[in-house]
Amino acid sequence: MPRDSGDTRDGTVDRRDLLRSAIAGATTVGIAGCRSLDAAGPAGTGNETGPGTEVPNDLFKGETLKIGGMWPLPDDYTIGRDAQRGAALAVKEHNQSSNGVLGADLKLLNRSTDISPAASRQNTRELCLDEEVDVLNGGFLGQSYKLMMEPIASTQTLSYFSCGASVPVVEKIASNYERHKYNFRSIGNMAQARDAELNFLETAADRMGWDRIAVFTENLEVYDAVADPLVQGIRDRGIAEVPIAKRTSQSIIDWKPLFDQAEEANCDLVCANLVLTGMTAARQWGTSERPFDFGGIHLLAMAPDFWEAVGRVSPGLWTLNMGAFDSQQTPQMSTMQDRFKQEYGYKTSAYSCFCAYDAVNNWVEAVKATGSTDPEDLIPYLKQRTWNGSILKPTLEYYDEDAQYPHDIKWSAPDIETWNELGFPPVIQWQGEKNGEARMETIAPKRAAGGEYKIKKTPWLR
Amino acid sequence: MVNITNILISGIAISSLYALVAIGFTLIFGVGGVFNLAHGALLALGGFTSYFISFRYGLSPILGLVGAVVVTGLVGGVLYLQVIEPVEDNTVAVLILTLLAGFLIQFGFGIFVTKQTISIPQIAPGSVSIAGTGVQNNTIFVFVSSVVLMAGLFVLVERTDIGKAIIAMSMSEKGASLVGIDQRRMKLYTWMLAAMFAGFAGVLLTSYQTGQWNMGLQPLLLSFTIVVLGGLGSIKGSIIAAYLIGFVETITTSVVSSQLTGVVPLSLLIVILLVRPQGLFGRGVDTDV
Amino acid sequence: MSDGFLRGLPRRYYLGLVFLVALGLSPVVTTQTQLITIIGILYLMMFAMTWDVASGYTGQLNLGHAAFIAVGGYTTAILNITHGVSPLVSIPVAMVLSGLAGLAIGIPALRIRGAYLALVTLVIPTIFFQIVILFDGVFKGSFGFKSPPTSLAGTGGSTGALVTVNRSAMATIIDFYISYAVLLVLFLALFAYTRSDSGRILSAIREDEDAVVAAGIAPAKHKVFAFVLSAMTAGLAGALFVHSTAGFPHPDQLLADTLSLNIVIVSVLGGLGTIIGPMVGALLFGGLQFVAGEFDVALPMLEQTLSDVIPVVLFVLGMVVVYYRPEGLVPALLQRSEPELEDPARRPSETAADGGTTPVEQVAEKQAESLPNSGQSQDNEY
Repeated sequence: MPRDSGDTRDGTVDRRDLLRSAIAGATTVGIAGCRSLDAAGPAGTGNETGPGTEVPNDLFKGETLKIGGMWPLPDDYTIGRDAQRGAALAVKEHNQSSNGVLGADLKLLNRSTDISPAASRQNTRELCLDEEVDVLNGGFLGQSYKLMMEPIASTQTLSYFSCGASVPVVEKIASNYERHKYNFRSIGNMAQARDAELNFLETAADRMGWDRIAVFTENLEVYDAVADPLVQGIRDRGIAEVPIAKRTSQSIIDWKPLFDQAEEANCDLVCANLVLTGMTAARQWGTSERPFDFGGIHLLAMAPDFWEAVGRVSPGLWTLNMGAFDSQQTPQMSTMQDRFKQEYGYKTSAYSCFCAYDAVNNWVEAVKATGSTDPEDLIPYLKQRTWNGSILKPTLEYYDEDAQYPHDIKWSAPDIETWNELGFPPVIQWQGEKNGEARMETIAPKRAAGGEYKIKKTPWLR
Repeated sequence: MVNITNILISGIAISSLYALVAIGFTLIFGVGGVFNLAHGALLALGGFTSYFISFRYGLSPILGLVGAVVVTGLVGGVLYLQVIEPVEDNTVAVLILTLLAGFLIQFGFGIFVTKQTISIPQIAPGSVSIAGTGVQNNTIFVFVSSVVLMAGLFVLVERTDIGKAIIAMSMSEKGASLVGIDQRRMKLYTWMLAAMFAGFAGVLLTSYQTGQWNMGLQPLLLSFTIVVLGGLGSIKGSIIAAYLIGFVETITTSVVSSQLTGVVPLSLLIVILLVRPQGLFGRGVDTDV
Repeated sequence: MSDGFLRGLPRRYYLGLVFLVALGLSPVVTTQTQLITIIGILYLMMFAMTWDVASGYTGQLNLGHAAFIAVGGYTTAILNITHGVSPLVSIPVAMVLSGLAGLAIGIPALRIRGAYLALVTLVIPTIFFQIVILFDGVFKGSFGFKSPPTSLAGTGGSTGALVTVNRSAMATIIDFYISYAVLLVLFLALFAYTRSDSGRILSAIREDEDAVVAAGIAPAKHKVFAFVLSAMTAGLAGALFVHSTAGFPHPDQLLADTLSLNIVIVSVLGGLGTIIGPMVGALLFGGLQFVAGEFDVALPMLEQTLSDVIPVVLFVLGMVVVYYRPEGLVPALLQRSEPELEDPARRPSETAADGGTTPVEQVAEKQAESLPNSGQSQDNEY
């Protein structure tokens, strides 16, 4: 399909020229089809393609497509590092394939979010304005991503929010769809995660004897979607009693009082949904060998080096995740793990890695299908496509603008059967060591765990 | 659900830890009128040293503890001799230098070691049952070592010459010189002693929870709060204040709300400053510049 | 100022002028994102100057200057974002509130002095941070506000701006010049204050408070005023910062531990008690980080880049300066480049070592002059 060729690949004017012309006192520059910082309306020079029209294989021959990575480094080092590696692996795979991306090479430009909204925004500006990346990949905390959405909107850059589950972000998209339609997520959101957690609790409670559950949720906004609804769900579905439900401070250093309360209330499980205080809680639970199981949506326990970092004391700890060492949620997951191990020497369990990897492939597929890197072409395509190449779940679709969570992954498993069949998202459990190596098992749902649940009781409770 | 035994045990555990954390800070202030803003960094130094010894190199955690104490003692001494002593009379310089030195050390850890949390193997693994509740041996170790060290400090101060010299100096520098006390040497010893306490406390902190490159800031503020509450320069005051703060915090967390944990020491500080700035056992707030 | 104003200025003023002019021309050579970083440096300069007017001049170290900045920033953010108040109103209100905060620090500071005050001020931003987390309905905790505040200059996007233009690059430039203008105004105001009689009394207090009292002046009024001035101007800077494209109302930006620390370091490097010193120190610090960030060089032995290591370098530098040249880099460097002594009569604010009179003496002189039996010669002893 013939395309206009401008000075640059898709007819945009170098943004630095805009700056200089502004200084020179030029009046508003109106270049036809120019994707400027300020034009409010769509500008595409790309042509509408739909599935089924032929896209020439060497459309972008000799060009380089740029992916901007915004990873949570360095403080959340493993989560960020593995996210970067996941994206890099995907990029490498495409570059090594016979045709690249319609003849083009991919280049990954990495920046850090520094776990700071201001740094995230500034680095995103660099990527969008200075480097003029074709797509963004990354973003971790909701508060940082919300700020990143500003340069994303003003430069109209497509962006995959791949490392964060914050629900307020998607609410922001919904509140001003036209401005924020460039954002897609390649990871489940926290509300969906909570539903998965409920399914897991329902299916495991009988098996494990969880009649009384204490629920601790860290006082971060991203967990608002978990805290009360989770407790409500546990009660409504008759899973268990919840004698204690608390929002915990981010600066707790001593979990003893809370664990004591759970123990006094005869709880069989402490369901702890934690980010910052997760390591301390896991460690203190393990070293004091409390008479209850321990698990939840536990960010730090998703990292492959969790076992070492916690001091090897927390066998039996389980957490929801997006993927795992040996999860069989999709055939692609195992392939990816093997390739990751080949490239980096270890298998990862960092959710961020899977989602960043997926985001690259997600985007590349859309580019190949539409023959365009222009968001105005890609967005309509993404909204109606069913993708079979995701490593997270067998088919991946997006909600469109009328849904509750626009541009989030369509996911619905309201009951255990559906979840078992879907296989996503998986639950993992740290089950001690084998030959000196940490064992992390995928324990649920059935499809991911290889056909049956593999959950084990905490060693000292058996 | 309030279980008195549990609160008692938690309170004692955390308070004895706090006492160890603050004592080094008190000592230096008592002797030189100096606020060592690098105190938190010395705690971190202790934690990281034991991390290297017992985690990275896999040696015994006791060795890690000993190593941490030795290293921090040395660093404390060097800090005093090379950095503090030459500018001792200039309070502003001392404050800034210790502030910078402290951040330098911690940033150093963050940049050159890791920004992630570190953990060390337990010094005393396992647990026992006391009054029907399970208590970790680690907790008992914290309490016992705290008591032993405090007692040792009192013995040092009451019975030995060095100790008496320290007390004399904290009362009057001129008077101490008049009776022939080598101030420089005594201050050096005090700094080293204080640093060793900090190192010890740092290891315990790390083993009790986990450690991080910036783990020193909160304990520094905590130490200040304890010292203010207890009264500037009073060792006895610091210990009592540590227990007070530890218990108030434990009770608040258990009974009131677990969200208020970070706020307790700071609120107490404000209250004290407003109501009784000289603290419980202090000798007055006027520290002339 | 006398005739021959420009001719008579010492060399350091020329240097300062050169720096300022170069700074003012930066939009010509930078990209938009680079310019945003430089706007951030402008604010660091303002923060440092506003700190110096109190702590540098009175010698009472305030280690929590971020608190004043945060009061300004949060006041305007809450008024503007939550209640839709225009920045033209919310920023002055922010100034007033931070001035009150300055009062709240300045008055107790009379009773608590020295190291004790320093530590108390160190704690204050932490307390503020806890308040921000606890009362997150008002302050939005660490999640931040739902939308950005009204920009100083913008393209009329979702939140509006004080100045609306067509292209965002131009908006950033205007943002820069607004901030730059405020920087200059603040600088002139603070400079004038510190060279005024009030300012000299402050320096005199720092040198020898008893002498000032003996001269019949009550120091308390002046010390409190210095803190209030420091807080108000910091609040103004903080409020503007939040509306500019370089800032954002969030604890990360307004209450970071390193913020107060950096302010202290750059002021120490530049020279306490000079206003110019901290400004230059902040410029150097910011410039260094900027350059290091541009050439993101990875250091061979360690797994770090240059820009990661810069803070450590600056801490070491700060310690070295305090140790060997407590008066700061700027005065130290310029002293060596100005071998000529200056006429004390023309430069009454020179230090005693240059052949001038100490602030204490000047204040004493002034007091003596206002006494009924002035006219008698005074003994000016060192």
